Amino acid sequence: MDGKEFLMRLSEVPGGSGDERNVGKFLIEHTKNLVDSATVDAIGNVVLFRQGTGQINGPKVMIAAHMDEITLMVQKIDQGGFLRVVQVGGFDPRTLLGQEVVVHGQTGNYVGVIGAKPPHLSTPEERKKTVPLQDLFVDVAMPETMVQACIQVGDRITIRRTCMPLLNERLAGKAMDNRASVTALMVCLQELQGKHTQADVYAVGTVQEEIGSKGAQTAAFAIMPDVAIAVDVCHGETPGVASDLVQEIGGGPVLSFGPNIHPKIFTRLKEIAKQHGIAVQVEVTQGATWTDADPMQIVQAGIATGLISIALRYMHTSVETLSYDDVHQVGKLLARFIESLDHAFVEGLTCYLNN
Amino acid sequence: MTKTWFEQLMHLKSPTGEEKLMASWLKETLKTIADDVFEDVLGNVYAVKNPRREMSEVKETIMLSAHMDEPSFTVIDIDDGGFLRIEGIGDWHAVNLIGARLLFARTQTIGVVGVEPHVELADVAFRHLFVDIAAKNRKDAEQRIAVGDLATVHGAVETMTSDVFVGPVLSNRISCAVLLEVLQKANNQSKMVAVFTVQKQVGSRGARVASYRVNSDLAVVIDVTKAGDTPHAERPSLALGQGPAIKMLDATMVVAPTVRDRLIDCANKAGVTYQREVSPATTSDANALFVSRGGIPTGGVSIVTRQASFFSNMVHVADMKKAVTLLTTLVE
Repeated sequence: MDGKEFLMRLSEVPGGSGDERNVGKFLIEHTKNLVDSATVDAIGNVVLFRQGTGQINGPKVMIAAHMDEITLMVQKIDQGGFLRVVQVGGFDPRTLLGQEVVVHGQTGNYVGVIGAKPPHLSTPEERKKTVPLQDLFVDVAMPETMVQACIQVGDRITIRRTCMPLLNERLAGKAMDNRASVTALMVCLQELQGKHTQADVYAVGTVQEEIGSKGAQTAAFAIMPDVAIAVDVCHGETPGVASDLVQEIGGGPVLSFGPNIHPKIFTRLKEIAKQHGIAVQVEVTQGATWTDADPMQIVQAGIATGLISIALRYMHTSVETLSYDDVHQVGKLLARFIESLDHAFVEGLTCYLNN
Repeated sequence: MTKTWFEQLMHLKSPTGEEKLMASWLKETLKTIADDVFEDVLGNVYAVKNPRREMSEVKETIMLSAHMDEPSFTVIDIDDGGFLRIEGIGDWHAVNLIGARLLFARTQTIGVVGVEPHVELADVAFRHLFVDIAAKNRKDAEQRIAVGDLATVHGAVETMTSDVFVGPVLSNRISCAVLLEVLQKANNQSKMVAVFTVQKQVGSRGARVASYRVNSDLAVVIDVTKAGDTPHAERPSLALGQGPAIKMLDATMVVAPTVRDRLIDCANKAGVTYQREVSPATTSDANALFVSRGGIPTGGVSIVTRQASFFSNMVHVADMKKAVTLLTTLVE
């Protein structure tokens, strides 16, 4: 399956933080022929392993993209069978009203809509404000007794959204954060097909990034790579947002630089991009990147870590918009970077400041 | 009986960072009901119970944990008049403490929390509170209290009905009592490691290292969660006396479906009524257990308590008993 089709389909797969099973299954199904082994660890991380082709054991590189999307969870079945919810990950509650959703029950899925009191029946003050999450509810159009029988507290609710292709290779849909990066991992593995690499590659679909980058931390602990690259999304240019906070959509992979990023990984990525004619952008992050890169860097005795991002607009809404070109270029850059890895480079990483 | 364990435990005050009273009592008590008992450098107490068969046949290790510490206070200053200034350890709202009695762990001194006048109630912060230990002056106070001493809310645990207890800040003692009884009762088929953890209130620091040490196949945290069955209470809608709450989500983590379904199966198998906990404001040691090493599958069983205030936590004995049955079924 080509990358674009893969991303469109994958974005539609439901998979909230803590229940990424369906995403993992999809990922393994479409990549198992590209790797030597595809496994799921104890907490749900998908580890796609590709053995290096060198004479001796190659350096270990882990590329990580989180599989989870932000979702809701049923907290209470209210009178009339309306569902009250909490969020798992950070939705913008302003964008929830009017969404179509799927409630994932124990024995079946139920479609519903997110509603609230209409403007006609609200006070002028209420109309000026956004409806807070606690006042929103999910309507599954069933009588209360039936809801009680089919749906339970703790059931997951995902946004129901078909990915929409826009002009100029752009795509809009839910969960582009971070299925776009998962797609980049797949593209990378495709790009490495038939190529010789010294490095052993661990492409990992991580779990629970949206609630604290947990899967990346534990996967990195188990794999303990020499080099780790997180792939995630960052903010794309948007009207009303200052240009220094955003990156160009369609402008190519975004390379992060800052204290949480190993300078030599950053430099190598930039050099490799230049060599292969891949346009890149640079994002400077003074502190935490709020991605899987943060915990991976400080696992065990420390891992040389980098971060590549894909620019995306309307983050944490159901119409996250990006350019597929960027996704594909990230996949290619990852592959070229991996091909360039050897023991000499890894040994040089310990001289952190001698750049 | 859980009630008996709880009655033995309920007087053991255990401020975060000075859990030794509880720890030494536990170490002594556990000797009679576990195969191996030890303590680590942070003060966590471990009790290992091996199944009555060859360890080579044992397919998994299950860790059950309960925190020993309770939210507490530390003395930061003693003034010329002999009044103490304190800071909270854990999730306190200063205004709720006005009029409370505190018990200082090192010297068993009792103090009363007062507040400076001319402060609006809504604005009360710890800097406005003082503790009166009936000292004549600084020198007199220093006979009993030193800066850094730790205190907890003082107050008796009392029986309200034959089923319901009330007392100040019961979370740790309820959880430890449940864990003790599971340890005593279980005819476990898995290797069971019970851990009584320290320092939950300051970031689950004990649980973090305990999970690393035990490296179990499954970890289950025992703690309390807030009831929502009182007038105009906010969600969640958990109720006192309706059975233990199986954790789906709390402020620290989301439980994987495989783990929570396993606990639900145990409840069903044991014929225990249970509730489903979706409590985004409740903290627990769960995440600290979960993110250890390469990831430890983790779930939780919570005891629903009514928490009208810190001084008066209400707990239903049946909920504790049912939690014991559920967890016993799990390890068997």
